[in-house]
Amino acid sequence: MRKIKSYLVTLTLANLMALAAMAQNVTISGNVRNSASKENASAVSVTIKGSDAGTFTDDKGNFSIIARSLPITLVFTSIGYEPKEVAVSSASTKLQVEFIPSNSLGQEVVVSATRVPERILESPVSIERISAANIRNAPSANFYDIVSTLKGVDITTSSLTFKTPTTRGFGGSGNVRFNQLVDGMDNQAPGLNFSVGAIVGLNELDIDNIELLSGASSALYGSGGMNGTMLMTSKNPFKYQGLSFIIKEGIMHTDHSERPASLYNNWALRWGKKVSEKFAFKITTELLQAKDWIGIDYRNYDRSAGVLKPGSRSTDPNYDGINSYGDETTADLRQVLNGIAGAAPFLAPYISTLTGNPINVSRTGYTEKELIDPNTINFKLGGSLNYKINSGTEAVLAGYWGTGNTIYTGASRYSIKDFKMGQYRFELLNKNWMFRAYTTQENAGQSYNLAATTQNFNEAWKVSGGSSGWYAQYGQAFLSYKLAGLSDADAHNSARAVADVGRPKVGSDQFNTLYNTVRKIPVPKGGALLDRTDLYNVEGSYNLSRYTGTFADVLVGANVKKYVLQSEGTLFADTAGSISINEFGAFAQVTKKISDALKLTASGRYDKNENFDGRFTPRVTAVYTVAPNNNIRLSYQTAYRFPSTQMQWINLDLVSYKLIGGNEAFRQIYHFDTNPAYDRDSLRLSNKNVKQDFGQLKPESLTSFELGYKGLQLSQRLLIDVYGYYGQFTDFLARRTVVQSKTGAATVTQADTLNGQIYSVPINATEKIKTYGFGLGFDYRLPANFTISLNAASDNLKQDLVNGKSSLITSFNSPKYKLNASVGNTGFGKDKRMGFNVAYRWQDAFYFQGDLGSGNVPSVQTVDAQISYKLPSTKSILKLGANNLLNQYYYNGIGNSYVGGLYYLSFGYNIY
Amino acid sequence: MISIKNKFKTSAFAALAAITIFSACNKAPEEILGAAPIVPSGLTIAATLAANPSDSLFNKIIVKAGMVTALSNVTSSYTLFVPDNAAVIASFGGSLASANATIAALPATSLALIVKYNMIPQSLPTSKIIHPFPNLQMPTDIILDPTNPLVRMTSFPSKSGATGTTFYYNNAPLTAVDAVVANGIIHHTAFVVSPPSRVLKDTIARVSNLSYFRAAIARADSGQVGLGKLDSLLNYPVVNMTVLAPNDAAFQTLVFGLAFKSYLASRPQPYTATDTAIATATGNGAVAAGPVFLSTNNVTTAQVKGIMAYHFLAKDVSTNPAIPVFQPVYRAFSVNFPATPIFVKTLVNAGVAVHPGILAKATYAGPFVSALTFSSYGSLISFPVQPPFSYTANTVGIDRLAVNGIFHIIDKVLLPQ
Repeated sequence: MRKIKSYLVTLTLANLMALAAMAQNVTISGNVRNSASKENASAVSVTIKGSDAGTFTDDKGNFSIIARSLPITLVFTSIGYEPKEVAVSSASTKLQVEFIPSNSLGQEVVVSATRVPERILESPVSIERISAANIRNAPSANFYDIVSTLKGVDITTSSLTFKTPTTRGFGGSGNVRFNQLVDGMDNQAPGLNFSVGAIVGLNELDIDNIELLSGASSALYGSGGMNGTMLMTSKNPFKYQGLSFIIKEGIMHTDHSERPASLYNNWALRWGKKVSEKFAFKITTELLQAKDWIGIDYRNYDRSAGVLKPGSRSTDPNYDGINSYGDETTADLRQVLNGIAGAAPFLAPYISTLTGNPINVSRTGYTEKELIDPNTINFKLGGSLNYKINSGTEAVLAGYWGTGNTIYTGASRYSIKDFKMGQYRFELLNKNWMFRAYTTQENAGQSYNLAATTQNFNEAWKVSGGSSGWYAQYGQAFLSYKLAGLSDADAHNSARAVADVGRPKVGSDQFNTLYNTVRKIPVPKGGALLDRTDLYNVEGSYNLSRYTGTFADVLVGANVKKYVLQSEGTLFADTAGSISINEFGAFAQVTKKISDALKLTASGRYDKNENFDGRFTPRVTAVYTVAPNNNIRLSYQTAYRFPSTQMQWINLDLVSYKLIGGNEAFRQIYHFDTNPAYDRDSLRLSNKNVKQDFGQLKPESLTSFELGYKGLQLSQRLLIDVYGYYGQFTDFLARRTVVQSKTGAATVTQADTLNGQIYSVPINATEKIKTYGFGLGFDYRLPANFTISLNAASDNLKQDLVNGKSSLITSFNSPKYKLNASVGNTGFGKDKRMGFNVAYRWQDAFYFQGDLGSGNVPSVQTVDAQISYKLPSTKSILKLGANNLLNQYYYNGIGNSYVGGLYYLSFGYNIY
Repeated sequence: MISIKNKFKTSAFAALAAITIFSACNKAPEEILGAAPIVPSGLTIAATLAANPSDSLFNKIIVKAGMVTALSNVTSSYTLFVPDNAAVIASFGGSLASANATIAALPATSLALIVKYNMIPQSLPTSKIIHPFPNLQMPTDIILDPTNPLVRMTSFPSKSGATGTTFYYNNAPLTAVDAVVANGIIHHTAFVVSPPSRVLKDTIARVSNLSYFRAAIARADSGQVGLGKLDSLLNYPVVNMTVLAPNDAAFQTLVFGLAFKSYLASRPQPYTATDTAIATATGNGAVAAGPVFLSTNNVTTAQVKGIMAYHFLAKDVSTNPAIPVFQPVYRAFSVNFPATPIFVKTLVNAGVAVHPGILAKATYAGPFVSALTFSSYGSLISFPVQPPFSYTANTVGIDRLAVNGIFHIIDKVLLPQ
């Protein structure tokens, strides 16, 4: 306490002295505007040449800066403008600076590639950047959709607000190989293991930029990032000031195929205020409401083989629809029929003619459309308090909180209902060092698993087993109808009608009351998840270049991370109390400019998780400048990831099977030493007992090589970016389905593949997993603000095959080829007020592997478009946009929502 | 510049039009179609019979019985056992006129029962008539309990006969088999197979020369309750039994012998002529007493019970070979017994599991049984000592069918020891 007091006294004195000093200085004020459109230019960096002093123009283009003496030279810089220097010899008049728009490409500065600012042209690894201007001009209603237009990016769309990007493969709704960081904070829900950037995080008005590193990126950002890292950086209130808001009103479901047409409401607001040269704050909020897209894939799925199969509810008594729930419950009707034969011996010979093969019958399910609450609501609230301790150091206290409903695809479809997550951080930023502490507080709210809920709902209405249960009724009716001469199919359908008599009708009070009761009961008796897992992280870095600069630039850093798993036994094996997982790591990076043309960077990182051995991940990169603005990059990178919290500790009973973690504790929990589990596929397909070894899991690692070129051609009007990569995984983390005898026997039989206890367990694959691919992109600036862009990429997987078949479910989930093309203009017509953009995306068909379902995803083509009109006096934009303009429904993962067109009109105030 | 802009606009719109066309073809998840269900083709059972002149009489029965609709349903599957015209004539009076007259005389409900009794609700080719002794029990289309459609009258296809290669429906030889039609299979039978209408108890009660048998059942049931009583079993509609019913003459022989031997047993040997005469008179007296003899202390309940148990054929229904459980659960028609003698177990085995049972033998004349004999382990004749299974009963009333079983009337009482 005493220390704090003395610190505050010192701080106050320092400020008073600074104020005294200011009295002797000269204040220069002025205004910056676009030389072409005469619009005020906000957020322009204004610095005094040769000093650390600097400021930004406010939302009206005004600035004021204090100089010790005159004359000085002011330097004005901003993305999209030519840098400008203005000599100032007098402060008596207000400066008017004409800022010339720049049409040059490749001048953006990125940070994430090396953790130090550098031009994107000189990045040693593949990197993509989305600026606030890109977001303004894009036709996408949601900025997450813009990410999908980046080179080599695949998006898995679970629902309207749940979109998960990846690069270089391994896409999926809960992608744990791709990091998403918001202002340096890992945006992944620490318990549920999916990133929630679209739900909890920045609103589009507060995004300064998004940088996306393709491929391995653990060497600087730690565990995860095997397939890329996306860093979203918010706007600093010192730089971006004023009130901004955007109102977006749209319409969806215009063809009524999923539901009647409905409104899309999206309102966002940001208010940034520089109270003084020392203090600024911002508040951001966003509300989104719409009727979500839903999954309508009713294809029949064979869960034991993990493949789609022919049949429908009317043709397959064991039908299990992808987006139909409750029908996961299945049983062999022979148990019932043989019971009847025992009680009625005169029917036994006849029954024996029916029971030569299994008669698997599933309970009747309900479709996603019947079950899901389509009302997607997302509310975000965020803000920061920024305090400049001195000219070089800024303290930030910030928080992002979000709540809402959405739909997520995991082992089932999940209704993420009343989900809440907050991320709170304290940060000290200095040009030479950084300290950050943050926590992520997750609350799953009333989220529930559709399959488990509906299966238990069916049980609550009518139990499956017992002499009067659903299967007994079905079996007796089936036999009756067979005895009446009906065909098998007709007898099954008629028997189902008998067993389903009194089945709650969707929308009835009976249905609603029962369903709402069951969904609130934790799994496995109901469907609710009670996850309240937290994450705590402290990290820092120091740039030693001022000491080592004569030899090389050196950057060091470290972090400590702690997960606290709290699910009350509904998600993790934490019935006895919370489980903590501790990690720490440290890194160092050395950059040496060998010559004007060659820059080498070497970095290494060591991480240790208390449950796993430590792991060192090196990275070496080289950038060779073959000509000004033309660079060749070469990199050797490694990445790794510790098994996720779920892969370590999940203990989720999904009724049909149990999803468990790889921690050694599970050996005792499920008695695997005395009641072993065996590989189900080996048992099912080859009748072989292949015992599952529950050894210690190891972190997964990836070694990757990349060669690329980025440069400007055709008088710097054409930006070309080309790369090729090759990567090889070691100890690839995957899941395997195993079966254990329910009688406690030490061995299993083929019958146990149906009757035994099924587990999905994490494993380290011994097979070699390799990925390779390439990407190329062209951005061309035409006269009169027209731009045209084209990018294409290819991602491929190579894995060991056994007897011509893959022995491992890799969930690579990436189209072999994908292409984006767009044409746009940011200012044409009278006073260059009009703008437009048309974007086309095509992706190849591919085989999708997921926990909910696997199967072919057909090729997808979409067209997005927008036309806009600027109102310069208020820096406002009217935009008419369309996502999936032609309303050509598509899906990009088995079981995911079927996405149609979204048409909107937006008004943005003070947004440029 | 304007030119460039115009060119660009033209190109842009052309590009937009192109991608509009290209992107109009995303695919929805479509149901995976498996092998197309085989749509039955050709004539149905009803249409086949209607089209076949040699089946016109049975077709007439079907039409009058109101069964055309059921047998015309192409989505159903039945096996129908059809007597051709010759078989119908043989069964209904021996002439076409008598057959037509019989059909005309019988009410539709009775004819429907005949048709339904010959319908098995699935396609049953002869290749699937595979069974251990004696036959395959299959449900017919006759529902015994209107409240429970599972309780059906059953019938008994088999592959039996002298060489075990002849197909039968109950005891009717199949004269033509495996005519596959759109909704099932047609087999032809040598005569009309009619359904029974009474249970064993009722049927036996209507046979005048089985009065001793009924008295013996009553005596054997002394002290028994529920289905532990043989009488209850004979009256229970959903059991399936084969009973050997000795006629009154057989029992009178037994009674005479028992009384005769009983008297002599009280006399010192060697027997005198007087002893023999009195023994004969005693025997005749016992016979003259009628079936009531079996109700008195002249014989013990255990004796009668043991003898009766020996006349109910049984088999082991236990799944544990170490603990056999013998129950009367099958129905053996005469044609199910082979020409080569076989041992069949009886309810005696429920108490003495190792008892060898009864030696049964059928003698065939073509597909029909001309003689059916059952030899017992014990013998009424003790001197000279008879070897086991030399005491043989002939069947004098063959294949007496009931709802819950079958009985064969034999001319001797079989003795288990």
